[in-house]
Parts: sequence; C-alpha cells; structure tokens
Amino acid sequence: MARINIEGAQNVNVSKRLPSEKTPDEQLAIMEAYTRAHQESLNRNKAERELNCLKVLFPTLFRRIEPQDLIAGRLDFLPIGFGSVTSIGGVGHYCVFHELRAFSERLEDPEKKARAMALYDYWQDHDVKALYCNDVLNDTTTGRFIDCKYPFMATARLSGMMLNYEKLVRLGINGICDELNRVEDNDFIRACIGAMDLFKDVIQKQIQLVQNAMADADPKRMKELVQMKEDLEFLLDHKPETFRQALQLLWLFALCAGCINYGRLDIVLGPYLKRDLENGTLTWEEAREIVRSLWTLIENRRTTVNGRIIVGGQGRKDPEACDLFARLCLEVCRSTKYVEPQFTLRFDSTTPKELLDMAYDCLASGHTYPTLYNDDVNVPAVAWGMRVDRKTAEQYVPFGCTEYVIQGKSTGTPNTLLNLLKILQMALNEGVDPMDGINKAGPVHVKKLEEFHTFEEFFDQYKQLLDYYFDLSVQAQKYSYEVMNREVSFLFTSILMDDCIARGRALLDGGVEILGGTNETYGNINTSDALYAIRKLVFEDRKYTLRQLNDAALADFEGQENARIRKDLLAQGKYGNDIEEVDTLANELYEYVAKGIRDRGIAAGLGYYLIVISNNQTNSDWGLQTDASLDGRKKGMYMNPANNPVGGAAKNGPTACMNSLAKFDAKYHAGSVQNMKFTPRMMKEDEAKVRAMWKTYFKKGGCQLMVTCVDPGELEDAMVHPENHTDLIVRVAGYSAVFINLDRHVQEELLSRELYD
Amino acid sequence: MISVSNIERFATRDGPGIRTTVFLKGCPLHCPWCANPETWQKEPVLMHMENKCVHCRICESVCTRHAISFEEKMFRIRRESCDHCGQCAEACLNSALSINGTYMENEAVLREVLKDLDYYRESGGGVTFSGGEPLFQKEAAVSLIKQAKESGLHVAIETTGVCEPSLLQQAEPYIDLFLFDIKHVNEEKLSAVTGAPFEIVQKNFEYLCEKRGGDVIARVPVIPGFNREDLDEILTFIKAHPVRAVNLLPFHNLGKTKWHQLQKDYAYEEASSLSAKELEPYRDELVTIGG
Repeated sequence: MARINIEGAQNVNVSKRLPSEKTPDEQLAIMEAYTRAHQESLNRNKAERELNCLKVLFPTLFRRIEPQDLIAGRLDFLPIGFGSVTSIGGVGHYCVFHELRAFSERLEDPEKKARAMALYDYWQDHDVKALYCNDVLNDTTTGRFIDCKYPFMATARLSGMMLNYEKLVRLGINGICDELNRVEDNDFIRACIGAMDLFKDVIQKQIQLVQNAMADADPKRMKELVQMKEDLEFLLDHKPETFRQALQLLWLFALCAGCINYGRLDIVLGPYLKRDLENGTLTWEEAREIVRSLWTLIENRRTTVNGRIIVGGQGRKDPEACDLFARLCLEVCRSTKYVEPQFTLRFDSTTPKELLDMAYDCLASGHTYPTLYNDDVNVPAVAWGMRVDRKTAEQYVPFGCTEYVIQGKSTGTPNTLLNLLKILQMALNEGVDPMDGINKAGPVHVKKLEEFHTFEEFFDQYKQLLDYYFDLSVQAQKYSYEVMNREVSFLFTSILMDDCIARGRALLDGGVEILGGTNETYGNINTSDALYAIRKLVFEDRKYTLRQLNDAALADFEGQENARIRKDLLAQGKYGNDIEEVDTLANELYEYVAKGIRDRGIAAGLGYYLIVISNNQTNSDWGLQTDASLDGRKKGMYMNPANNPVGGAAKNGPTACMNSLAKFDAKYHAGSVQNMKFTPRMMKEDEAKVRAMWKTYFKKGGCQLMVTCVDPGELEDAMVHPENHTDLIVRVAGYSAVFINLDRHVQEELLSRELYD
Repeated sequence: MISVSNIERFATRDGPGIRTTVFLKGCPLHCPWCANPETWQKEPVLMHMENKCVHCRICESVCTRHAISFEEKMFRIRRESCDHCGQCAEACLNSALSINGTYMENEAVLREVLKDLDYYRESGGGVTFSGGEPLFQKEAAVSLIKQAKESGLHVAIETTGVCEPSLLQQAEPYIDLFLFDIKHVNEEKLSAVTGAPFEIVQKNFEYLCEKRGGDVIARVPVIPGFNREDLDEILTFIKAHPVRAVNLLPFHNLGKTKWHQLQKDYAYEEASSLSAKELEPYRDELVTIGG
C-alpha cells in the first residue's frame, strides 16, 4: 500500500484529450489483461515482462483512421498501461490513479466498479512512479510533482526522448532486426526482437484500419487510402524509399515508443522529400498536405508542453534538402493555428534569409511558432555544458518546455524541480517555510536574522540551504533512473537510442551513450530581485533591518508601515532593466545554482546534470504556495516566468530587457526560455527595427526567443469575453496554449508581462 | 548638469533605426495639443494621478511647504510653493504622485544611451534629443549633443525651431539629422496658439536647409482646428526648401492623461485622434504620413 498520496495532477495539462475510442467495458478488459500480463510476468526478467505487457496494448489501442489522415497511426492510452511520460499516461508500467478512480466512478455496474478498484489496489504496489515516490518523498523537503507545498519536487519520468529516426529510416524494420540478430543474445535483445515483431503487427493493424476506412471513401479519398496501404505494406519488408513512407515509419515507431517529441525531422525527411520532388513522384502541394496531416496528428495527441519538431541549424549533412522540409513546415505553420506541434527553428548566422523571413511572418501573425534557437550560442554552450565534442553538440534538441538532449544519444529528463524563492524565505526564517510554519531546512542550521552582519553572511546562509537542496536533487534524479531501470527496459526507446543495441543493454541499464538529466528551477528572478533589495536597503542604505523587512513580508505587507516597506522594495532596481548591479547579482545567483547542480551531477557520475529555466506554468502554481517575498511580491502571487523579469518590472523597453537576458552565460544551463510579447502593429510597422533588435540580442549571446504577438487589450478582453477569442494562442513559457483554456492565475501572470508596442 | 524629463529606449518614431530618445526639459512654446506637457518647465514638476489617489492625505501631511491641499475633496497643488523635494511622492503608498525631471551629468545620460549601442549599429539608429525644446537649456544642451556625437553616436534632434539661432549654429556640426517642426506658416496663428515667433522658426529653418537641407526632415503635427485646413499652404512653404522629407504627424490625444496629472485643462478633451488615412491625399515622393 502506498504511503504517499498517489492521486492528483502529475503534469501540466491544458489541452483537452480526445476520449478513448474503446467502450468502458473494452477499456476495463484491456486494463485487466495488462495487469494480468504484468502479474504473470513478475518472475520473468523485466524486458520480457515489458514485452508481454506491450502485447496487450499493441496493436489493440490503435484508433480508426480519420478522414483527414494521410499518415496512419492514432493511439489511445488508458489509465493503466506502459509509457515514458506523464503527458500520455505515465512512466513504465503505470497507473494514473485519479483517472482510474474517475473511470471506475463512471461505471454503473458495481461489480465492474469493484474490478476497476481491484486494479487500483494492485498498482499501488507496482506503478513505477509510485514506487519511486514512496522512497523519495517526505513531509518536509521533497514533494510530489505537482504538490507545491514543498521547496523541492521530484518525480520519475522519462521525458523528452528523441530517437535516432535517421537510423530507423536508413535501415528499415528488417535492418534493425538484422542488427539485433547480429549482436550477442540476452534477455534485453530477445525482447527487442519481440518488440520489432510487435511493431510489424502494429503495421498490419494499420493496413486493416486503412481498409476499414475505404468502406465509405469517395474516389479522391480512396486514392489516398490506397497509397497509404501500399506504403504500409511496403514498409513491412523494405526500408522506406519515399518521403511518405519514411514519415509513416517514424510516426508509428514514435507512437509505440511513447515519444511525444520528434526532433530534427528535416534531417530525417529532407533527403526523401528532395528526391521525390526531383523525380516528380510528389508535388510540393502534396508534400505540404502530408505535413499538415502530421501537424494534425500531433495536435490530436494533445500533450500540451511537447510535440517538438525541430528544423534548421548546424550539423546537417544535406542542408539544402533539410531546408526544403523546413520551408514546408513553415508554410504549414503559417496556415494552421495549433498549440502543438511545438515547431522550432534552429538558426545561425548562415541560415537563409528566406527561412528567417517566413519565421518572422509566422510570429507576426500570432502563431507563437517557430520558437527560435540560436546555434551560434547554443552549440558551443551545449558542448561545454554536457562535456561532449562539437559534432555531438550540434545534434542538441530542445524538448518539452526547452530542455536540451542530444538526439538519439542522451536522456535529459527533468525529474527534479527547485523553488529558489521558497528556499530564500527559509533562509530568512530560521529554516521555516512561513507559508505553513514547517521547518524544511533538513540538517542545515539557519541563523537568526540578527546574526547576519553583512550581506555576504546572509547570502552564504542561503547558499548553504541551496547546497543541501542540490544534494537532494542529484540524489533524487539518479534514484529515478535506478527505479525505472529496476522495473523496465523501455524497449522501443532503447532500440533507437545509441548505443543500446551494440552494448546489449537497455537504456537506463548502461545502454544510452549519455545519461544526462535536468533540474528545473523556479522563482529565479524574484529571488535575485529580493536579494538585491535586501543588500541595498539593509546593508548599503541601512534604511531597514532585515527583521523589519521580513516582518513586513510575514504580514504580507498589510498595514500602512508594511505597505511603505513594500513600496521601497518595489522601488529597488529590478532585473530586466539593464541595470548593471542588479543583473550582476542575478547572474551570480544563476551561476551559483547552475554550477552547484552541474558539479554535483558530474561527481555523481551522470553524463551531465544541468539546470533548466524553462517554466511550464509551475511558476504560477508554485507561486500560490509561496509566501510574500522581499522583491515586493505578495503572498500567493505567481513567480516570474523562466529567467524573465517579474511581470511588470521591466520598464525600460525591449532592448533593456534583452540586454539583461543575454547576460546569463548559456553554457551553464540546458535550456532557458525567453518570452516576449509584441503587438502586431510593432511587428508589422517596425519590422526592420524588431528584426535588427533580435539580431543584436542573438549576437550578444541570446540563446533563445519565443514570441507572442497580441494587440493591447486583447488578453484582457479574452478574460471577459472568452467566446470571442477561441483561437487566441499565447506562449505561456515553454509551451503555447489557447489563452482561454488557461487557469485564471496563469492568465493573470501572462497579462502582467510587458507588452512591447 | 542638464534637466532630463525621460529617457526612452527602443524609440522607433524619432528617426531612423533603433534609437534612444532623451526628452530634455524646458520649452518656450505652449502648444495646446502637446503630448509632453510635463517638459514645459525646466524645473522638476509634481504630477498627480487621480485614479490612483485614495485621498489619504499623507502627502498633505508631509509637505513642509504646505503646497498640497484637498479642498472640496480635490487634490490641489500650489505650484508656486512646491519645491519638488519629492517627499510627498515618497510617502504616497499608491504611487499616485511622482516628480518628473532629474538633473543629470552628461556622462550619466550618455551611459544610459550607450547601453544600446549594439542595437544602433545593427539598425542604423542612434540618439534623438527631444523635449520640450532640446536647445532650451542652451549651452548645457549643446554640450550634451557635442558629447553624444563625440561618443560615435548618430545624433538627431527633434526641435521646435524656437531657439537662439546662434545656439542652433553651435550645435549644428554635431547633429546628423534635424527633425524640424513646422507647425504653421501663418505668423499670427502660430504665435497666438503656440507662442512661437515664426520669424525665428523661419530663420533657423532656412539656415539649416541652406547648409544641411539633406539632413532636415520637416515635421508637421496636423491639428484639427489649427492647421489641418492650412496644410497646402504649409507644404508649399516647406517644399520651397531643399529638405530631405516631410512627415505629417496626425493629431493624437495620447498626452491627455499627462495634462490631467498636471491639473491643466486639455483643449482636446473630447477630440478623437486624426486618422492617418485622412492625410493620404498629401502623400507624395517627399511627404509621408507618420514619423
């Protein structure tokens, strides 16, 4: 029986899912069969157990082909099953307990309800994440993701796997099988071979589903379906030869592997596209419709913060072919308004102007895509941060909200999250979190405020607390790999990750070339602004004592005297205004945290372990559970997004903000997102100036930029009249969303950000 | 030291490229449509936002010169008594009060301006001195302009044309671009409404056009009831000079709240902004609409 709370939200989930195609009875039967397969395989090796379980899910859970589909492959998932990420189920053998409970409550027959709840009981002791959480979570320091009472949250998941699809299309199914048959046999390899057989069953199933769709097809649709069927049949025994076939193959494999980020598809698909166009077997318009179909399939998976397709940048063998695919994607991006895929353009100083023009046009017309990643900065930064050579670093890919991995070569799942601001408040309150009065300092002795005689003494105290949490963080990350590896092999993922097959080992069992990881940090800028205000008002101007400031915050700045103190706090320099001493302190904190995490990761034997300042909406959620802070922020207020200024604090215009943003050296993090809002007027009328501004920012070291384009008053109006703004898409942080689907406190945070006009 | 109203970075409408506009204080004119009435006087000025004021009267209690009162439940300020010490603004918990204007060293102004040097270089931008009348502060202004030029910046000024000709001539070599306001060419109308002597405007304009015509952009704020009907006459005058371009700037009322904050009556309270479209018939190879 689980000791910890196993229910509750486990990921940021804004988009509404499509309901399962299966009837509740069918779903119950599948979940029971899955559970049975798991139970009966308990004494088998983990790889075989996984395969037995996967055989219950595949190909059964594949849905019918929809009329607009040009590629086959739609997959349901249930409250119990196998996966990698919480966005589509869970990790390894999973049970999403609150969804299973809700499922059982929808069943009318008490006997069936009881059957569902029997599964609930079984999985309490077998759900991989619950097993992890049982060991790691506690009542003070470490909470479940997402339980915002804690300064630190930890989870088990395998997010952001981007597979070596280039290998898949180059070898085809049989080629992969040959490779598996060539290496020394073991449990893992045998299960991989079984998985590839299962993959063929999945393709067979698609053929059947396509045939089903032919029943009521008109001649035009029939032609498309015939093509799909021929392609699927061809793939059973051949490696792909056309653009369509290559895409079909990788799409189905990604579904089976539970991958929801796809990576550098221009490298995989560009050469096929080029060849098909050249030999006249495919027109540009046909290709665009195929990509549009891919866009729709990804949108329909509704994974909120994922769905990354990346084009452009360094490290591509045939840039011309790749750029053809990039152009196709940009055209589709311009003509669809979806929150996913998270379409991403990597670029550098050599990127063709045409692509940059198209990207600008997409952004100026309010699509929020592509997100922009600057290879001139990121490639050397990744090489240093992850300790890999430049060639390897060229294959970096941002997944989810922005975390970088090396495609086909590294894991980088962010299984740990730190709230820097909460920890600062503990430093101010002898280790106690003023939000709930609980001491969360662990073994760290935290001095009384009167004992700090210099700013440095106080800052050191804060650093001691941070150090303690960094230790917790690296342990929790490593342990998540241990637990996942104990339970599962991630067969499909392992097959396409270097160098699992050659090593004959599963992904987390020594198979993956680079076992990395990431730690999300939150409240970075509230914290550095607060530290700056403390230094200035207490230790430089000596206007207040630290006690006076802290007492005011504990009272949430209520009462006239406290309100005056808050006014003073708010009047201090804030990050985002290009103020040297403020930015320097922000950078000092950033580097302390980034290096603290990175060094511990190296010491613990990880390939890399780096912070990400990515932000989903956890800055808002965690803010609700974080007490008033000495940057002037009220209790329960959202925290700053990513490493961007606190909402409303950046008063000096976009160049000042960009100068502040560019000060953090990218080599210490594995992704950091920079959100800015511009008006359509500015994007249109001042295009040359806006582009010159971005270009300068990127030259100055800016690693990334994501843009929301809205009219003044549009967000406010959408809060009052959501019905008039159903297609208003905004960039929250590391993901886009339909504005009216967001929680109100997230909407308010977005509104607070400066809109440049 | 020079009295500065505001420094605006990423100013996009005050000359080419990305610019920083330095709004200097002091103006000999009093145009009733002015968008920056807080710059009229060289000295700092107290501004009050009624919508933020909760009438707590803390400001009144801290003012040692008794300049503030709340007669008839209205915030009132006796400006002749105010020495803009700023204590009231500091005491105001709702930030309803603020002081506009700071005396700055040239170096401090330029330090701020130079923060965006890379952006100017990429975009062909620079610094624009505006106001008020940027030359109102005479030698102090000339010295700042000179220093800006010596820092390698592209320098523009946005001038009313109302300043001692000798001053303008002193500053001229350090200025790359002149955004020169021609508000009217009818001497009486101009003087009656804005207080500007056309004779000086004309003299300065002709001097610049003769010497640097290619670096002069004439700007006409188009104001209904003042010069909207006289545009042909104004354009004929301008076009008789070898200017680089003419910008017609359609009237807008975005400065309205500032008039309220200064407790001044705004003459265009009910007037709506003039649409750029309305001025389209005047567009030609020399004339553009907007800045």
